[in-house]
Amino acid sequence: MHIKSLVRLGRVSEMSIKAVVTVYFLHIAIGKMQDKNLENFSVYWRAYNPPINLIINTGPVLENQKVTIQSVVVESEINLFYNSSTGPVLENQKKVMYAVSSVRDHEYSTISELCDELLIKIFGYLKCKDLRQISLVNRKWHQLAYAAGLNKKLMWRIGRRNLTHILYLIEHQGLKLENVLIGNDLHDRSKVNKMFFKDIFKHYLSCNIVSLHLLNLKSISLLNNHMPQIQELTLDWPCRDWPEIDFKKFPNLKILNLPLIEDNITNWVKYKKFLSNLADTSGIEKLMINIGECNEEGLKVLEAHASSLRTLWFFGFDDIDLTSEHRYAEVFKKLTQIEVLKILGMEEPNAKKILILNIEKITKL
Amino acid sequence: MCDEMPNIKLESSDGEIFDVDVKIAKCSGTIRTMLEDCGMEDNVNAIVPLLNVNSAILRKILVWADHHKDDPLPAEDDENKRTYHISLWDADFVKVDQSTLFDLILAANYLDIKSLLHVTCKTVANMMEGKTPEMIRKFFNIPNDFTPAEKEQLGAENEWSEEE
Repeated sequence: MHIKSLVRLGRVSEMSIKAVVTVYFLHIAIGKMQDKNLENFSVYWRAYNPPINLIINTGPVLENQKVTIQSVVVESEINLFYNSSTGPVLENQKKVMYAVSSVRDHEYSTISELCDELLIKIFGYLKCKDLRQISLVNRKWHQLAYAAGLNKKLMWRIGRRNLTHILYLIEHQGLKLENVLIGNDLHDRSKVNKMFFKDIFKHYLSCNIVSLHLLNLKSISLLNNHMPQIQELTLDWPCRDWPEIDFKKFPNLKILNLPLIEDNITNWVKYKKFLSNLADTSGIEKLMINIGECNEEGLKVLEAHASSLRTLWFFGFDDIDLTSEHRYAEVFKKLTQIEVLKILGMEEPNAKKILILNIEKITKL
Repeated sequence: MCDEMPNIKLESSDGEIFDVDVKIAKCSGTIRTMLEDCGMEDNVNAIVPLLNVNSAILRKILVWADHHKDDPLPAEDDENKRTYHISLWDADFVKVDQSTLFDLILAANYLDIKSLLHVTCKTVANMMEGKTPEMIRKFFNIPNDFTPAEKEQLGAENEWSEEE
């Protein structure tokens, strides 16, 4: 056992050594003592739990006397009193102290000795399921688990249940969320919640968001806010209606995931409008898009982002007539940066061929 | 090559002196900087005091450093730590009691040995995996300081969802 610090050197007669230890086995030996002195040696366990006080009463302290405590059975705080009541001189006691500290062979540390930074590092290896458990251990870990979660850029799901809590964190701890998923349940019942959240989003969240995942069309009004940092936007809903979105409000958008399944896009007129807005911007690197019946608008979108697109998930139709075939070829030729291309919905090999043949370098299909 | 390298002396917190190959000692970023900044590289008699590391832990760390002395230095940004594989030898090395493990973490942090810090921290994280808060408290001997009111509120907490 390593006795961490000699807390107090009593006037002459007593010193107490306090150590926080995690130990498994008790073995006490006093080295270099005469047999007669051994009689004076006794150990009292006072097994409060915790702490356990271990009192070693040695009688007169001899020079060169050594106390070795290797380990103890309990896991708790140990107070070790080194009591030499017959009063050896201070100088001797110092020597004993030295002996005690120099024969130690172990330092017993607990997790509480790790600084916040190290705990956050450890928590960083955990998955969010475990991180959630960690956050329920105690107050400090609660805070640190949040920090670790933010470091890991885990996505926060904002829903009805945690709305007030998030507001609290934002107000009192300056929480800045970067990755946010807006849950469906936020729109279930109360209008108050909805208005309330709109406000929070506008004032606190929109300026920091890097990645946003919307599960419900009703959340779409959130996109009226300026989001200067946003890089990734996922719209994931079975939608029947398409709102107008001004993509110029998201100057740093790099990844855009739109719903791929065609049946959901029923209002083609509005979808066309939506796509033309998208075609007014540029710079997207990863795009998931279903162009459906909006061939021309869809191709315009691809054209607008052609120089930056690296990954494209493309959902299109088979029936490409001669005029559009020419147009397709023209647009796909412009996709010079494409590395990953996934074509969905086009069963006819001929249609696929038109697209693929016109692309220069592809690493993955 | 190894034999030609000079040795330096490391002094543990409890005063034990370790004679160490410079190459091995340089596993530690802290010692590396110390040697470079103080121009101690040529000074064979240099004694580097390591105030936060006791002899038992230092001995263990030197075993680590000796085993890893030919590893390339990790890149500055260890972004790929998720994929970083823990070798069998490393896994065996950290099969120690909790106290020693925490001491190793503290020492690795102090000495700035990134690979060791990674392995030890990951090991602790593994111990936490799949445990309930109560099990974690028991395992690491941590008191629960939540008030009943707080506990109730924690029930309605935020949720994280893993990206991808």
